[in-house]
Amino acid sequence: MKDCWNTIGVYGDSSCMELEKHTHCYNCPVYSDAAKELFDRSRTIDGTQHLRSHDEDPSNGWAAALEESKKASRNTQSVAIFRIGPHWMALLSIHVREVVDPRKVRAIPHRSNELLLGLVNIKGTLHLCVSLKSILELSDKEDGQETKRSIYPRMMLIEDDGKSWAFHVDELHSLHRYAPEALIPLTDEKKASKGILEFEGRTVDLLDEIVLYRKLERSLV
Amino acid sequence: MNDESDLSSFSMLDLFRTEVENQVSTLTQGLLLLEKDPTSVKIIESLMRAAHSIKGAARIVQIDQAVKVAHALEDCFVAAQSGKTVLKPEQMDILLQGVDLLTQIASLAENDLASWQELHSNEVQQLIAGITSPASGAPSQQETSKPEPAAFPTVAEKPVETDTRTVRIQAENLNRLLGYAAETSVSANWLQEYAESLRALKNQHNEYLRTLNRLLETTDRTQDLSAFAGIQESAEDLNRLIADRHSELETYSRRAVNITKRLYREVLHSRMRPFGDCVEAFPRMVRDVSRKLGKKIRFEISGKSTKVDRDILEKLEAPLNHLVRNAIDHGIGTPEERAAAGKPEEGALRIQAAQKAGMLHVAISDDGRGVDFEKLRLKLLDRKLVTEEMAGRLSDQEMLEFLFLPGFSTASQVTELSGRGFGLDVVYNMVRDVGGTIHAKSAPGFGMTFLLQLPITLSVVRTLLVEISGDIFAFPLSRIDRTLIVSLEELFEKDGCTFVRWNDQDLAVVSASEILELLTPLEDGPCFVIVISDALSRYGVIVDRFLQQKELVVRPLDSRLGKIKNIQAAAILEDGAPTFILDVQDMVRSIDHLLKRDSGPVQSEAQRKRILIVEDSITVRETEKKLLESNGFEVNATVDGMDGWNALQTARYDLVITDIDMPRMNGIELTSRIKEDASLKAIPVLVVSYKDRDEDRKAASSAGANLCLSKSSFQDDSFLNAVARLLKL
Repeated sequence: MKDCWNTIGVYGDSSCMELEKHTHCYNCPVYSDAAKELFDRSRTIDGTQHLRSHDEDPSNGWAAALEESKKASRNTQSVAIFRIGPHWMALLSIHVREVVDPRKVRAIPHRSNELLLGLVNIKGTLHLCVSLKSILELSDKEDGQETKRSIYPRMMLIEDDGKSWAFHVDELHSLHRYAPEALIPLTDEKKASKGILEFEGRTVDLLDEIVLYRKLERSLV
Repeated sequence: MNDESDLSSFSMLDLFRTEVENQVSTLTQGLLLLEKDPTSVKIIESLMRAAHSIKGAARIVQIDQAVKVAHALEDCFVAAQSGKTVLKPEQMDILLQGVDLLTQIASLAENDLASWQELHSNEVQQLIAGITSPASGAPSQQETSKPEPAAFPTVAEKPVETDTRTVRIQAENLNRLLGYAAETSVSANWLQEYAESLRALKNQHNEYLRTLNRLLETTDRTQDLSAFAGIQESAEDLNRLIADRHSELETYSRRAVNITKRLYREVLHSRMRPFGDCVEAFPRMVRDVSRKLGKKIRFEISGKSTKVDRDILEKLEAPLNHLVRNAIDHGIGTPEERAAAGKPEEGALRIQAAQKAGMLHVAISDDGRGVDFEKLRLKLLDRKLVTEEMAGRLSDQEMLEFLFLPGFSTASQVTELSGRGFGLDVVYNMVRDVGGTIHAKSAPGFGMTFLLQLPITLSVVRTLLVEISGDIFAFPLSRIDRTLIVSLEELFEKDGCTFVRWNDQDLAVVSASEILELLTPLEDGPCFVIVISDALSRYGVIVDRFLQQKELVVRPLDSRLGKIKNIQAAAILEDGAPTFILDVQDMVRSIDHLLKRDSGPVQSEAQRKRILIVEDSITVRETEKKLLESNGFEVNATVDGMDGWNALQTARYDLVITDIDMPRMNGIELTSRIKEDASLKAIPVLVVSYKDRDEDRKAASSAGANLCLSKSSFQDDSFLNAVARLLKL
């Protein structure tokens, strides 16, 4: 599929001859055919469909993900990239169930501590809310560049085997597909990391979901 | 999570099972009616239809034996309908056996179908011969050696009347639906608040308009005021516009609130089932049991249409079944005995269900022998449950309460029918678990009545919302004895505890934030006190504020959290915020603990042996605890292995007593963890198992347990002896 609307169409230099007839790419059959193709594409290679909602701007991450998936070869994997403090992390997007605005966490008497913060209501269901920062023992170190970034706090709900966990992130950047060869293996049990991904000039820890869920489980004991 | 809620995802075999479930209830009910009215064409026709449906369904899934049985039944009913034969009551047995067999086949796993059919073909043959040849149709004795009659003759959802259609839906889906309905309600409430905030805007604008008008009045009239008039006019337009929009929004939000409330109620209501569902199998059971025992019984059920939450209904069936069997077995005498006592030969057994004051009342009553209080008194003494002096003082009503103790049975011999290791304590436990009560009433010679009072639903609970340390908590109304507002001056100190004078007694009061280990806020206004109690103690709990009465939908706590001390469940408030429903029973115990710790004599503490109990059943836990405490031990009780393990990390214990089957971490795992831990392995471990199973014993001893006992050991001294031995006393 060629995104002519970005090159010779209204989002490009508007040099397309068809524009005279259609005025805007929206009205052009090439554009609508491309859209159909997008909807009809197979959904199996890709976990992005599991990301059900993004409260404010659902298209935000999608466009990038779809863009990526076009280029993607079959063995790439989709990850959600997010930030806690100065730390960038990535988690396989099939584990992400909801991304919502942060909300009030209700502490659980006798139980809440720095790991387990409490209960949180997401779409009418109560979920356990944890501090990923404490669980992964992330440092607070000031990083001039990242802490100056404007913060778009979100709450992520991840799920594995019917067990869900909610936690705060300072920013959910986007969905991203990476090829296995792009991963620099660097196992770090403490950070539950499988290795490092380079993404837009940043180093991102790819979370090892098995270690992560084990750490999460342990936070309850 | 799988979403297989529509029929299309069921296999053909599932459909067959559903068909059998539905038709079997028609067959059973029909046959029982036919026994009383053997020529009713209407009943026979419904029986024919039911047998025919099963035959058709069995044919589709090619279960030949089921086809044969259903066919034989159908033939028999056809013959009866055409008047060729009249079905005799004796024949009912064999027909009912046929029905049982169908239920049994429908309950087989797919893989077992072929082998079962092969294995039982003779038996089926015999049964069919019995059904089709009414002349020789007297049930032969060998029929009793048949495989167990199907153990699950009842099904949760069956159309009671044919005109009420039912749809099967997975509980999971229903719960999600409830979640969304609640969330919609939250949104609608927000709308209403928002509309309310527009009123402020409207008022402010009115004020603006008034100021403008005042200004115009005081301005020099000689000047040109057309510009002012323009402003005035547009301000008035604006005012009207705001008023219009506000009232529109108000109408809309009212409608939204109304409709979401209805949606919510409807979803909640869809969890309700008629009480009759739970007792559907009972007439058959009563008939079979009484026949076997040679007793004559007239069985009545009233209030079948009373609506009850399906969760309660599910939990209710086993205890009711037990009470009914008990009544037939031990309560109602044989016709001869009854005649001798001057009663009609036919005993009466009645189950009555009704809704009263928001509770479900179920009464199971018989007109049998009742309780012999003198015998009961002797038994209590024999078991050393009471002292001689106490026994003399006990009222009849008080003595009946002992029937509900674990392992306590008045039946002198265990019979096959009701003595299946399932005592009244289990009934009591179930009733307590759902927040209900059970009472026994008896007059010797005039029968026995058990009265159960249960909440109509577990999903909604009426609560009082209170503020504790800035957070909102909910007290179930049913567990609040009283609420008081007292001034600080009314509180007084005595022996290190705080008291308030109430009802001519000194009521110990403790702050809720202390019980819940929350920060204590500084308050100097009046004290808001909630009076709570259990059978033994009564306390006042101080909260920051009473907020309002509220019905909350109970959300079970995440199972990963296990039991949380003092908390019964979670809930969601109208604004979407999570809250907790308090476990009053637990709180009373926590206060017991707090006050004892505060006032306990410190010097003797060192000599007292500390015992840790790990047990998930509250009855057993409390029995053990009371037993040990009354023998001078210091006891800490935890609810499962994980809980117990955590307790071991924080305090020193001289003995661990643990159950085997528990959530999160079982007793075997706990034992091996203790024995593998260098600093803990010296602590003796006593395993107490519910069932006397050999494999449990083996597992326990290979994990390193020092001793293994069964729960029946509470009845005599063997439990206490074992404890003393392990503690080397």
